[in-house]
Amino acid sequence: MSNEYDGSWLSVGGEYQDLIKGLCASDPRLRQRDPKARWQGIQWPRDDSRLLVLELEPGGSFGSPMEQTPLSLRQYLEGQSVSADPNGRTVYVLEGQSPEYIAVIGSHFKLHPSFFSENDRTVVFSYDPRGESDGMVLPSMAMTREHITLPFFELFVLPENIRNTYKLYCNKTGRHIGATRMWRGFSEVGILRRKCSFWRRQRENGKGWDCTFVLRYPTTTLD
Amino acid sequence: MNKSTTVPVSVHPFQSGYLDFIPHDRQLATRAGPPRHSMLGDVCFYLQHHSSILDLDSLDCTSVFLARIIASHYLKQADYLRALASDIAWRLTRKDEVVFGTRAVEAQWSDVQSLERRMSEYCEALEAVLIQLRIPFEDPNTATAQRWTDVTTDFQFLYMQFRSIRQRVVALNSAMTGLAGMAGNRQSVKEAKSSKALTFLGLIFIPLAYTASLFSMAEPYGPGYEKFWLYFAISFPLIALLVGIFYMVDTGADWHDWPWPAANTNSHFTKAAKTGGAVV
Repeated sequence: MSNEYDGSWLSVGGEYQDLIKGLCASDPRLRQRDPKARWQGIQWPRDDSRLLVLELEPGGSFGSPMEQTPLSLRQYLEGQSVSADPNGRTVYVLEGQSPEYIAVIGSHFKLHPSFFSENDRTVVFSYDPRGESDGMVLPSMAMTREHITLPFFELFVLPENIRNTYKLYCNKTGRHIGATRMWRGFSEVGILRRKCSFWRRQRENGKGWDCTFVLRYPTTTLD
Repeated sequence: MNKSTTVPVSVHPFQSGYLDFIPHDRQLATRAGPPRHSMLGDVCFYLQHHSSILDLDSLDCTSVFLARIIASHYLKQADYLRALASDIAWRLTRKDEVVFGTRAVEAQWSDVQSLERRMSEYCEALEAVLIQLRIPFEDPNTATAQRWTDVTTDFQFLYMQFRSIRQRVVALNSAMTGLAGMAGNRQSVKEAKSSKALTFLGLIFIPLAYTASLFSMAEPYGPGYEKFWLYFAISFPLIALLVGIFYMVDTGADWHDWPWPAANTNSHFTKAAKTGGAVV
């Protein structure tokens, strides 16, 4: 993967990577991956991203999730381009990001790449002039975007053998896990920083729509 | 980078996780809840089991599940933080629980600083959510919430809750600063007592040494000679005199009416203390 500050880190080569490079001037955050994640040695790209597709069934419920590889997803979306039901509803759920999935989904739906890059950011704050922050967008901008990225926090019980330090990170994403010390003892509870992104678009000539969730990995290993 | 040890963890949600937000009649019919071990699992659960109660013609209908899962996580977090703030406040109300050791107090002060910093971060994260969901930064009006899918009141309520907890933590921070001052005062008093004890010991030994040097402890005042008793006859009254003077000076410093310089009735601070007025 390229280390150039041209946005090529986010997607594999092709039409969508060209789009990202072109948009770097609009959104400088696209130029580089979160420096904190690089500093932490977080693997990129990962090969354990998962994408599930759920289609609305006639009964009004979504059917069982269909797992897709980047290749099968491309074929699926090409099929949708030819014979998509204008009233159909399809949900794409991506857990963990990878340049291959980003290239397929991004180029098919012509998504603004900030949808993916905002979800990737793990830095909390930074005053490094060459670094990146995870700042908000102007409220007026939020109205014009097709996606949202919502930060939140998840509480979970820390294993007993690591309840003695503030330096806890998710091994897969580098997300910091807040430990709390009170009255000279560490709390059993860890506070995990998380984010979810959501994009949606109405289908042409019908009531149908497509939406995509980008979710982060669940925490299974800590550093 | 120095990679630290990697520890596999089995994630157990805090207090078994968030409450299911689906209306009760649907819960009774479904008898199933989200798995709560990953966001992917939770989103898929709600899409598969409860999408029929959404207005599927609405473009944003599925974001309702996402927003409500996130709101439910924030609510659990608010529960935890409120309990944490209450625990700190409770311990401060129990004198026996309060540790006045300087190091312990400094650690506690630092911990509350950390909590206050994080409360600001949590509030900022909620503000980012409000902006993106286009929810006004207003206090919630629960009377206007008509549908279970309406997340506006939920997030306004959460934002109000987090601001309230942040205010409590700010107040606790001030209390901790006060506690640090009290601990510092205790330390100063302890050191003053030690100095006093040393001074007292000096009062005993200095006259002895002084008298010994005065008489050079040679004949006829040295040990074993006929006038050796003079050494004690002079030293002991001298000790008693000095101890007496020390006592008068020491206790006199605590008397507001005592005319020693340390507690001079004309001093700036004593005047203010007597009149109950502020020191100018």
